[in-house]
Amino acid sequence: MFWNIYGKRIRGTLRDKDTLIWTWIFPIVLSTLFYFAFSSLDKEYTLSSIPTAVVMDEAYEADAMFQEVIGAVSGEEEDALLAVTFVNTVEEADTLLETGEVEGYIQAGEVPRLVLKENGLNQTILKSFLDQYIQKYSSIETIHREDPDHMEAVTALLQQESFTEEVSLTGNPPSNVVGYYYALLAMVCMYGGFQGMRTVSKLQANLSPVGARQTMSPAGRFRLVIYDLLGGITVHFGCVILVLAYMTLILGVNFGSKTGAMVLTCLVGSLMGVAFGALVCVSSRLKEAAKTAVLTSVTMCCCFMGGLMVGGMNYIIAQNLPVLSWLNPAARIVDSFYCLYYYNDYERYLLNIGILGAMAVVMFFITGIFIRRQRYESI
Amino acid sequence: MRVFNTCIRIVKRRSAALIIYFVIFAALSVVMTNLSVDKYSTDFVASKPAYTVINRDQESPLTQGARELLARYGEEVRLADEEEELKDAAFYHASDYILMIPPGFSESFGSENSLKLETMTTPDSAKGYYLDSLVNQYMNLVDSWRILHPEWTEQQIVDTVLQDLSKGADVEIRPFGSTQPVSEQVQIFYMLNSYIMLVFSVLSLSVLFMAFRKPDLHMRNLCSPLKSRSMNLQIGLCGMLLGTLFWILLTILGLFLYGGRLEGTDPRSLLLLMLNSFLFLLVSLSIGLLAGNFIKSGNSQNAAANFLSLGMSFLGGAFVPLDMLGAGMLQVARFVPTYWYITALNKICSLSSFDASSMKEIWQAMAVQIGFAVAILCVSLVLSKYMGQSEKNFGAVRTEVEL
Repeated sequence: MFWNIYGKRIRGTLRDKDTLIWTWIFPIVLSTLFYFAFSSLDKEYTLSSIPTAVVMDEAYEADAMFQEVIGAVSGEEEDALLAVTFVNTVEEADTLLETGEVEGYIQAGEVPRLVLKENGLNQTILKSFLDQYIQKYSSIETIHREDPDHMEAVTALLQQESFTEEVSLTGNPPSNVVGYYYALLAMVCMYGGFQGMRTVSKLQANLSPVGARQTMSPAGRFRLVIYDLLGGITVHFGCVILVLAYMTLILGVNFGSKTGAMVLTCLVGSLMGVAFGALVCVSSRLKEAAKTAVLTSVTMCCCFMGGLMVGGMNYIIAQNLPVLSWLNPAARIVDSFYCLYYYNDYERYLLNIGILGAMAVVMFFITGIFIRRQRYESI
Repeated sequence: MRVFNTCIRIVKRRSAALIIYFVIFAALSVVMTNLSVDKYSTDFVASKPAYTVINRDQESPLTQGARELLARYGEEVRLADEEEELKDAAFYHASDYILMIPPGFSESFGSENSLKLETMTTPDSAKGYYLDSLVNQYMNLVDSWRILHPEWTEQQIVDTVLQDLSKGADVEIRPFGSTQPVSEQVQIFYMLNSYIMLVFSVLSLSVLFMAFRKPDLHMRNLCSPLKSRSMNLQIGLCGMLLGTLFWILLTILGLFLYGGRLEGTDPRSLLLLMLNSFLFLLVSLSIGLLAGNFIKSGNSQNAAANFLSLGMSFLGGAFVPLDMLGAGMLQVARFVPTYWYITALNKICSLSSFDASSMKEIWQAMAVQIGFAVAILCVSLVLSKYMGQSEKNFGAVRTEVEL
């Protein structure tokens, strides 16, 4: 009997176009969109040469030190701080600024002057560059004035020794992009709810004609539910793995190297999703449309708080409303993937998996209690 | 107006889902507002990246000075000295620059084996670079003054350096043109509007269509004395009314949330923004009409609404700025109405004068939207006629297991 119900459930699910669109095609299309839309997201925060104009007026020609400094920070190299365009007049510089070809322009003088169009990080860095030049220049002047022979202090200043060193606490670098894929995978896991819903609604006599027929069959109700759910979980787990494989193998998203643990996350996530759907559907009063609405809107809310629409939302919520974060299954799935990518140990990962597993068990248990002795006076 | 009234009753019954979307959208707008900073100002306002100082050494004038300097140029985020917390903050950009002062740093400073300050940032981060350059400038100046005046106390040196670091270049902000551009928050709000309008249109119109396309009901209506054209017109009217109501609600929400930021903005820019979003509403409704022809169940209704709205929003630049899409993707994006809505929106938001040449591109983008709305409407009318006659529309209720 097991193979009969299990096999038919799998075949039935694979022929259900609605669910296939939701759980297979939708995430694949969405992850492809993410791939194209976010391809340069990581570059947004990185430092790139700031387009700047320098006015070559008399003051500039007369100031050899300033010329040298401008020459040192600009150039063709990728890591140059400034991408300088030299202009002869202020009018030319104004035109470049107005058309947005440069972020600001510099005029040399006793105190160099910076002209900008708007505020921003690049503008702040430009200002900071000029400030530092002025501060250093004034310090050198003071040293010359106080003790002209004390060249050691001037040398220390000119050498610009680095007093800081960057340390990395992790193997994989922080990324703005991976969080979106994690949240998407969490969404797919939670869409397992459709499978749970299908199982329960097709076994409740008042919800579908198929349910009415199945309720009359001689098979034990508990066995029917378990075999059917197993079929649903199998298909859904396959679907999550397919989406994961698509992301890693075709789109080339870096999820880290702990493949086994990733698959385990998908499995526990799928279980949780299916259990959630079964629980939502177990109420015999709500209509199917209302249950679908509850399922999709709760999933969307959880995923929003898991960082699907706004990256890092899961962190903001974890900082401010930790209880909500721990109770949100999507956030737990996202955090599990994040731990695998970013952490070297498994402590927090296992905690997440434990919570997800416990959620699934509790939900299945409640569902079991409700559907155990359902009898219908009339349907 | 029997059909119209029925439509209103259907929408009332299904209003919960639409209200949920509206509430999520309102929350999303508030969050996005807090994340973005206005670029426009007549005075220079420096960006203040988030930083954290973890002092594993004892407090000394040297470390206090570094703290004071960073407080001038950044916003402090206090974190516990725990690896997990620091790692999380770096990953999620809660802190752009984490400065860790190693034990014995102040004591070793200036000696041959002086310790280095440890930093943690996202690789090649611009904000990290900015704060790092400030810290290095501070340390270099302290070092020079220490060499110059070995007799000075650490406090004296730090005070002098902090005074030196107050000097800076003259900055001027030159706003070109005569009007103040629209605030970035308002721009983001209108960008997200395109997403929610699409979701709403597809959901609300398909709710109506689904109700009237049930096989038995459809057959009954076909033999009623009410003309098919009149029935469709009434459904369309209800959709239009709903859409307009939703649009008004969104506009009011916008004014409520961002009214204070609109001071100084030219009212013409505001009117253009509203016109642009109304035109996009027309496009959304026509897309909803088209999708309504294919939607037959609650499941596919949600799928279609999310597919269309998320897909078009990502491709059209509503979620991710258009300049971050590759050149190839931009060519594809031109076939998506959202692209034209966003293009017009961006132009309106950076408008500094209302002469014909500046307005030309805006009118162009708006005309393309009208074109899209008309074209999609025509296609959906033809499709609806064709599909209304097809045999598939009259399927029987099934009682067998669907294999």
